[in-house]
Amino acid sequence: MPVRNLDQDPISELEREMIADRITKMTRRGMVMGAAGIGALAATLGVGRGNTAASALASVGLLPEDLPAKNFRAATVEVLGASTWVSHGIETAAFYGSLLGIDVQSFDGEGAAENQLAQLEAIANEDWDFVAVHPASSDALIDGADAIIAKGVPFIVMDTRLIQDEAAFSEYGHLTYIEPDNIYMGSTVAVELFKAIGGEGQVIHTQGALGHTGAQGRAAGFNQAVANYPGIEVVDETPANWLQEEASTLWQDLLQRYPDVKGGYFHSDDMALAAQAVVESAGLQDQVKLVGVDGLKNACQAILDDKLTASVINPSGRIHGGAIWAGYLTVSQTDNSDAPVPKFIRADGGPITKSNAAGYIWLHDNYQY
Amino acid sequence: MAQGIPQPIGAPAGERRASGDLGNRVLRLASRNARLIAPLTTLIALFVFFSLVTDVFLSTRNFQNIVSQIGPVAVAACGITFVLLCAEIDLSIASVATFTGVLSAYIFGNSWEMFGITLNLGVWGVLVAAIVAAGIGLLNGFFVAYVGIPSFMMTLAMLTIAAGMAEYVTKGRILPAASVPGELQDLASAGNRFLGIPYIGIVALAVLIVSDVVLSYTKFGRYVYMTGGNREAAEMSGVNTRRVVMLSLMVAGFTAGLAGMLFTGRLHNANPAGGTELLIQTIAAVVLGGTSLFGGEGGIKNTFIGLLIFGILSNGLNLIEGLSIHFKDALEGIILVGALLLNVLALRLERVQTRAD
Repeated sequence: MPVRNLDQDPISELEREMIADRITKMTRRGMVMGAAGIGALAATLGVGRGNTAASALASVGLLPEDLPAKNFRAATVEVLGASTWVSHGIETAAFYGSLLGIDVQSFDGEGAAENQLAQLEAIANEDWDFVAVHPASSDALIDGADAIIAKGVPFIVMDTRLIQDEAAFSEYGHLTYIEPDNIYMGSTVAVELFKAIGGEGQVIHTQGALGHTGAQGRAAGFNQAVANYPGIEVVDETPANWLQEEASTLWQDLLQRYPDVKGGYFHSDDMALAAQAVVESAGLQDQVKLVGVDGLKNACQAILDDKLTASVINPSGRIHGGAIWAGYLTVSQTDNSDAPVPKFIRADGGPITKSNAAGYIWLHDNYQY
Repeated sequence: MAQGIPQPIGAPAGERRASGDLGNRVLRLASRNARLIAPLTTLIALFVFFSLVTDVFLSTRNFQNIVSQIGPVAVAACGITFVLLCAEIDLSIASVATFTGVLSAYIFGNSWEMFGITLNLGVWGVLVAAIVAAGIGLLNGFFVAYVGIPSFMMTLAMLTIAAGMAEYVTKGRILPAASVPGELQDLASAGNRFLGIPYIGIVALAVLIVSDVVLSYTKFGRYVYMTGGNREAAEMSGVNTRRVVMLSLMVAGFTAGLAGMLFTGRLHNANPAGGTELLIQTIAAVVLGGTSLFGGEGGIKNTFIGLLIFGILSNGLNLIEGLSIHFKDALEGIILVGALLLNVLALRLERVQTRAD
């Protein structure tokens, strides 16, 4: 089921207005920064509707002047539209598509690999300039991907490996694979938690779905950090399967079982925020410190409000924006790099604490991560 | 006694044959009330088990936790009881709950310019969302009862529509605490209590009582049982079964909406991807309590017991020290199967007794 169509969807039309408004604001500020800041630079050069950032970039020599006249058409197949992380990614892809003159249409797999496979098969029967997918599970989408790649359409994989076997995947025909570092994210934010509780005490580790590679990486990172803190006692590792209701119920019970708990580490900020409501209801907000993973706006705000101690960036925007850039530079043959797009791109990000959360909210609102 | 199709006035024939044997009479009474006694036995067994194997299960705080955890499920379960008693199903309740929750937050957090007037409904958005939820249920009911779409398919379609609407309203994002009416957060927060009972538990109890009164003591309630027990017979008796089905589905939509708003208040945010487990939890609790999936048998008392089983089981397993997280789900399933087996055995006993009578 398509969830966004920039040309037809009235919401997208509104978003276009929003983007144009944002671009105007950016122009006023003369914003020039970073890799994704290239888009903003384009904005400063007078990007408007029907006038792409690519041509603006070309005018200052960042892209060739003989840019293709055509507007491109790209599809992203998302894992679950109704999630904060994915929705931010969809908006980011639409934002960069708007800047570059790409009609980006996103499809919602609604959490099911079988839906995504059907969507990829349908995409393979149409004409697209490039396709990006965030697989619901590894190995399930290979048939659909094969059909698209066989047509010569650049195929980009986001966040989760298309093929479980790492060696086999490195030889596969995709353009590139953009992935966050789950182990790094887990260990980084766990260290922030342990520092906040003085390096000792009972800690609850609330996991995502155990079969999810992201959850496995975040658990591995957490365990790496725990190994360096002998005073930390991990008292529970029950998964809440990414669900807020489960996290809420679980934490109500665990606060009964472990009244002296000092910290909670969650595989997602959404679960952490659900538990935070429980901790606050129990009047334990001064005793129990909580950290999560993803670092999107809601978590940044919660950190500023002293509801969460820390989070870590899982750069949804950079992964989706990177996919659009990689696809565009390839099909327009305007890549500045001498080498072809590498098969693997790491998209990482640092910890978010009260000292830097406001800055990350700004970057988030402008699709910079 | 578990409720069913209204019984003939006076004692059954078997009871009129006075046996004089107290044991037999107790056994016969138990057999006839098996639909209620079986889940009650499960409930007592679980209660005793968790009391023995955990040291915090029997604490007041833990009971408060259980009450606040099953509160939203209890509210939704009331509506599902109506629908199951009609021998219908409503698969859309979880999505309707989610949509209603995010809609109430969306209305609360936004204002609109209309004819030069700024319209800001604030907390009254809760009322609007509740009416929308009832409207969705009514729509379900209309298409099922009057158009003839099977409830399974109609509510499956509505599940998708409501989930899509929740995503559309929020654009996939979680609406934060500032978007959720403070009154709703106060009502659903486990920490807010009256005489030690969480407010959310009092709300759930009120909905359970009203539902029980409607089903047990009103003409409409009697029609619900008749419609589910034997629709043709009910129609021949003059019952407008289509109307009964439609209104039952409307009740389910309304209670799902209330449950969704309670979830929103409890979690202090409105999550378009939330509430996914509500459907399974609700139907499981209702059926565990002894209400038949095929209509006409059961009732709110059964639902209440089923909710307690479900709540205590979920809570108790989280309290057992040393229980492998990899085995917890399997153990929960095994216990549920055991409880259902007990229900089935008891129902067979009930049938045997009915024939004997």
